Amino acid sequence: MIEVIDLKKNYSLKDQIITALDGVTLTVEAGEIFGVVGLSGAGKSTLIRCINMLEKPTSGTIVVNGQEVTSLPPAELRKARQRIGMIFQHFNLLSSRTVAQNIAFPLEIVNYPKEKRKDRIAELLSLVGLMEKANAYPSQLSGGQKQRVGIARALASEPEVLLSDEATSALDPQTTTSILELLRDLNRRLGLTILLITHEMNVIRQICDRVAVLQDGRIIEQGTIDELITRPDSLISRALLPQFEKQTISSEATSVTITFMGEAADQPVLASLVRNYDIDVNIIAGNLQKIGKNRVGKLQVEISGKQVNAALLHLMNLGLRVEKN
Amino acid sequence: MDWSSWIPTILAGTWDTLYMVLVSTLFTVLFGLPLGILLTVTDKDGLAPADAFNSVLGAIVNAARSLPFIILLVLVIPFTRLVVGTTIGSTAAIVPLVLAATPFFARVAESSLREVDHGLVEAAQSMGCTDWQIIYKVLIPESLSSLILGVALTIISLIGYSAMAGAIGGGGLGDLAIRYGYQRYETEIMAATVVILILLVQGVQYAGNTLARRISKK
Repeated sequence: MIEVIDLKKNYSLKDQIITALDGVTLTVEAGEIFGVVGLSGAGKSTLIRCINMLEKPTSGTIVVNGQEVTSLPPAELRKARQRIGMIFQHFNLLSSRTVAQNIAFPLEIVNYPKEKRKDRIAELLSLVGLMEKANAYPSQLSGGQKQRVGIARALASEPEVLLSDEATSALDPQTTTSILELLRDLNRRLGLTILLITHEMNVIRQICDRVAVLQDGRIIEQGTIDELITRPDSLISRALLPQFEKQTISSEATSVTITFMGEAADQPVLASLVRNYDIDVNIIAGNLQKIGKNRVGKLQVEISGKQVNAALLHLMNLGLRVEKN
Repeated sequence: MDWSSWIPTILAGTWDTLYMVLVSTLFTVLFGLPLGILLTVTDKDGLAPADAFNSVLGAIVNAARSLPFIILLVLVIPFTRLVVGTTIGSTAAIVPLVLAATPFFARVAESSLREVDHGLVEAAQSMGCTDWQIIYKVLIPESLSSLILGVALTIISLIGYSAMAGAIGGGGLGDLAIRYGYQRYETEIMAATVVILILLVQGVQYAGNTLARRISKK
C-alpha cells in the first residue's frame, strides 16, 4: 500500500547539509498498522511528511495506492493527497469552524455532493463517537475530542491510507489508549492502512502489527512485533519487555530469566516444573503483559536442587527462552 | 458665542470626515488585503515563495510608508486628477488617503495572516487544497478577528490623516480645527472638533474590539 524505496532527505542549514533521512526503505502492507519509532531528531517526522509530499525528498521513490507520488505534477499530487488522510500531534483544526464544519472541509475540497454532506458528516461523527459535539468549536473540546475530530476529518474523503504524525503525543495516557483503540477499530472495520510515527513505546505495544526503528535517518530494525520481541537482542524487545536488575538471593541457586510467549504464557509452567523435578523455585521478579495480540511474560527465578539442569532443558523444550543471569 | 451658527459648519465637517474616512477605508481594504496576502504568500516560508518578487514588493510598500502624508498629498496631485478628475475637495482627498493607508493596511494584514498556525496550512495541504483554497478557506477565516482589529486601526489612522486634507480643500473636522481653532483662535470650535474626533476614534476602536471578540472562537 505504501512503498518507500531508498528515501533520502537533506536540509541545507546555512553552509551545512543536514541529513534527515539516509536511505530509508520500507513497505506498508494493505490493512496493517505500521509503526515507525525513534527518538526525536531521528527523522520520523520527515519520513511521514514525505509520504504525502508535504516535504519533498532529495532522492528516492514513494509509491502510495499504486501511484508514484514522488513524480506527480501538482494537480495530480493534490488528487493523490485526497486519498491519503493525515492526523497531527496538535490536531490542526480550524478554530473558526465548528466540529461539523471542520469535517465538512475536506468534503468541500473534493466537491462531495452538497446534499449528501450532512449525512456523511453525521456518519463520521458517529464513527468517532462525537455525535453531540457537532456544533461545538474546537476550543470547547478536550484534547482527545479534538483528535477524534481530526480523525473524522482525515477519513471524510474515504482515504485508503491514514498517516498519523505523533497523534497521541499531546494526550494523557488514558486518552492515548482510547484514541489508539479507535484507530485499531477503524483499521479492522474499514480495512484502513495506518502508518504512524511515535516516540512512545506504548503506542507500538498497543496497536502496531509491524514496526521499524529509525535512528539517525536509517532504519536499524524492522519486522513484526511478534518476531522482534522473541529476539532478545532486538531494540524492540529490550524496550517492550521489562529489564530486571540483577539480584542474587541465594548464592548456591542458579539464577535464570525465563521469557514466556504465545501459548506457553498461558500455561502453569512453573507449577508443573516443581511437581516433575526435584527442585525449588524462588521467584525474584516477574511481569506479564499484552503486546499486540500476544501475552508475553518474563520471570526472574532462582532454581536450586538436584535436577536444575534437567529442569532448564525441559523449559527450553517447551519453547521458552531461558537465559542464565 | 453663538453656537447655532456653528452647528451646520461642524456637522458639515463631521460629514466630510466620515465620507473621506469611510470611502478610503473601503478602497484601502480592497487594495491592501490582496497586497497583504501577496506579501504573506510569496514570503520564503509562505505558500508560494518568490524571494525576488517579495523583496521588491516589500521595498515599494516600505517606500510608500516612509513618505509623510502631507508630502504624499501634494506629490500625487497629477494622479488624483487622473483618477477623480479634480484635485480639490473631499473626493480628491480620498486618492492620497487610500495611497497612504493601503501599504499600512497591507503590513497590518500581513502580520495577521502570518499569525495563522502553519500546522493549519499543512493540514489543508495534506487534504489536497490548492493555494487559493488555503487562502480563502484557511488564512482569511482564521485571521478574520485579527484582520478586523487591523481595519479598526487603519480607520483610526485615516481619521488622523484626514485632518490634513484641508490642505487641498478636503474639509473635515481636522480642517475646521486648524482653520478656526488654530488660525483664528476660536478655542470652542477647536474643542468641539477635538471632542468629536475623540468620540469617533473611541467608537471605532470599541466597535472593532466587539466585533473581533464576537468572531473569534479561539
